Amino acid sequence: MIKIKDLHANIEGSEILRGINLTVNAGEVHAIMGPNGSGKSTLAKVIAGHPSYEVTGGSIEYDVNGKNKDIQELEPDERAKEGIFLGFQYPIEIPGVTNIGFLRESFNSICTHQGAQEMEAPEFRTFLQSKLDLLEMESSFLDRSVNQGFSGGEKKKNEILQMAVLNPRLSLLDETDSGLDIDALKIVAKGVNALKSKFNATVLVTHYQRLLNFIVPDKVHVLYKGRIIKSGGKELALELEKRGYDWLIKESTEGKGN
Amino acid sequence: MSQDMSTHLINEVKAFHKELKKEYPEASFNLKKNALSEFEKLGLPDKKEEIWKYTNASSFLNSNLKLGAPKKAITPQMIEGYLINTDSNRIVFINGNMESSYTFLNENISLSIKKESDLPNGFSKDSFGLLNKAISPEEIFIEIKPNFVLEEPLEILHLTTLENDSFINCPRVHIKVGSYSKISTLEHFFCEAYEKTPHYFVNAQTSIICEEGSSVEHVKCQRDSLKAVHIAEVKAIVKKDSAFKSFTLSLGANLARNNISSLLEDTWAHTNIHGLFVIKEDQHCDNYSVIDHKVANTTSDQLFKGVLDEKSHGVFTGKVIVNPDAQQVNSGQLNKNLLLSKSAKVNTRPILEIEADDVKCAHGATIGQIDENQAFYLRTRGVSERKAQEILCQAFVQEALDQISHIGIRKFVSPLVENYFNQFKILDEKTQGANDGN
Repeated sequence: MIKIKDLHANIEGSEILRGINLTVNAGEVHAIMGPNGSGKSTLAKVIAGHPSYEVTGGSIEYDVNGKNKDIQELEPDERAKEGIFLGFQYPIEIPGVTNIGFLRESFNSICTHQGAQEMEAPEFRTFLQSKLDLLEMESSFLDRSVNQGFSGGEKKKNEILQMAVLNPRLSLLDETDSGLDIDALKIVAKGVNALKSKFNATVLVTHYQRLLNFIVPDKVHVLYKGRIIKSGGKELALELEKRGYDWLIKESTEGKGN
Repeated sequence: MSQDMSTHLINEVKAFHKELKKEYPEASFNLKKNALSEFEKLGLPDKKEEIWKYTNASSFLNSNLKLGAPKKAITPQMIEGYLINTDSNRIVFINGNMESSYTFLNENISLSIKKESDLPNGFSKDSFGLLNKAISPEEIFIEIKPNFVLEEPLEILHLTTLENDSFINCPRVHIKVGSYSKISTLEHFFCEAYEKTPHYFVNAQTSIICEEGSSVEHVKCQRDSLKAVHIAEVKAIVKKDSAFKSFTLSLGANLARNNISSLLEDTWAHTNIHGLFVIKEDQHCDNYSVIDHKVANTTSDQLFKGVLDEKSHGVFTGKVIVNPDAQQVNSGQLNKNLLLSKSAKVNTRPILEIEADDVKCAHGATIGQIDENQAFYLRTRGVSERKAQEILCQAFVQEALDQISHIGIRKFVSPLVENYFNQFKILDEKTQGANDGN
């Protein structure tokens, strides 16, 4: 579904990604782990097309209608229309825009792109009900301004609600578990698991093994200083939980001889 | 420049007075003549005057401006689209003259037309106030009976037609709301030939007296031609236990200058002076407000917002006066501006003249751009860059529009603002601004 080759990216002149290679296939769940500042969030933002980052090398090939396309040609909204979804670590508050107005604008722009019928307001509200139920959210959330005054847990649930509405092919969930208590974490994980299918893929960016107890990854990658230094199965996350990152960092620097 | 324009206007008014003298009673005529000679002494204001610091009004006035706007026959269809309710209380002006055939008021609202007025609490004696008085052929008095609640808004329409090109209009409206009465009024200035952008000059005056215990909301919606000059005063006197809420929406005119003042004359009087301007191209919008806390236990609140595109220039001055005896006053003021282009400019200044010591007065001003993080968030959900910008502009103005209490008026004016954004360029550039806070 997505093939990242030797990806390099800068923000304000400093290099954050220094040669990422990663392939994610449909039906898979990948977890990207690593110490603070290793470039995990940057990778997710670069794939989504954040304008503050500059790609200086490499490619991101993404499957659009059976053809591989370098998504650097696409604007962030065009990437979203092709099924790329970024769940934000810190969801943005937008006072003055209602949640339902935002969801409908977003849903309809994606529908129009995919040649599907747009939905009128009453019909859309009905359509949302099952998604709200999945995330155990009150319908009163729909009439509040986007994320304004939401608790940390409510914001993260709202991200997964958007994901449920937009039904993306590739979901990049950036620290979706941070700031969640165990009950909220279980609800968010239940939502993500319910949306999983053999046609879509999920990339979880996380610090903690805790999330991976609820959303079980097929592959785990460790990012350090802008490179993937180790990949493995779900057992790698358990080992990191026990031993931390130091041994891996040591192993990788010794292996490279620098 | 300002001198030439003053001379031109004086000559025009003198010629106009020759005709007026024939049909006017002598006493009334002399009041007009006196107003003109006072105007002659003052001339047009220039930027040396503190209250006109950011606006050179005479540079916007066209040298072929003249008096005696033509009467124009209109049909009900022409005004229907501009009314909230086709059967509500309304007063219709066409090219500055009141049209009685389209004016309708119920039995609780009385209307009288006078050739003169020398109200003790009349309008400001500044240049434009004097000019208005010297020119305006009649004064419209609207009186609302005491103990009367008007549910539907009183609509005051100021329609300008293409035939008004190059003319000066000086409507003068006085509204007196009886004690314990409650009304909302929409004063709506618009140009029927908006696309043809006629040049004209509206110099309007509205006075409002809120009697004891009354509640009055005045919403002004200005959609004049983009080549027009609109200079208007709204002056309110707010008596004991009464509330005056003002909302000034400016969308049109090349130069718009809004002088809004509220005098809190007795205890427990309250006023809101809110407003919004949304401007583009080379529009210039200057809002000058004065809230005067004459006595103790009076309160005021103010939220003014501006959205500026292209080379437009916005000005906000919020003057708050608290007199020495006016203790326990509570006053809040906030001015927020959104600049959409590198060439747009805003000047904002609070002026606080506080002479009492036990008061609470807050003020603040912001000048910002579209938030990149908010725009990116919307775009990652499939919303195009252009649409994201429009959504964020709308979100910005929503807070201001929400200040309009009358739901019917709010629902009427909100789409006018929302639909306006699709005409905006919204350049993706860094912007500049100045904050002249003291």
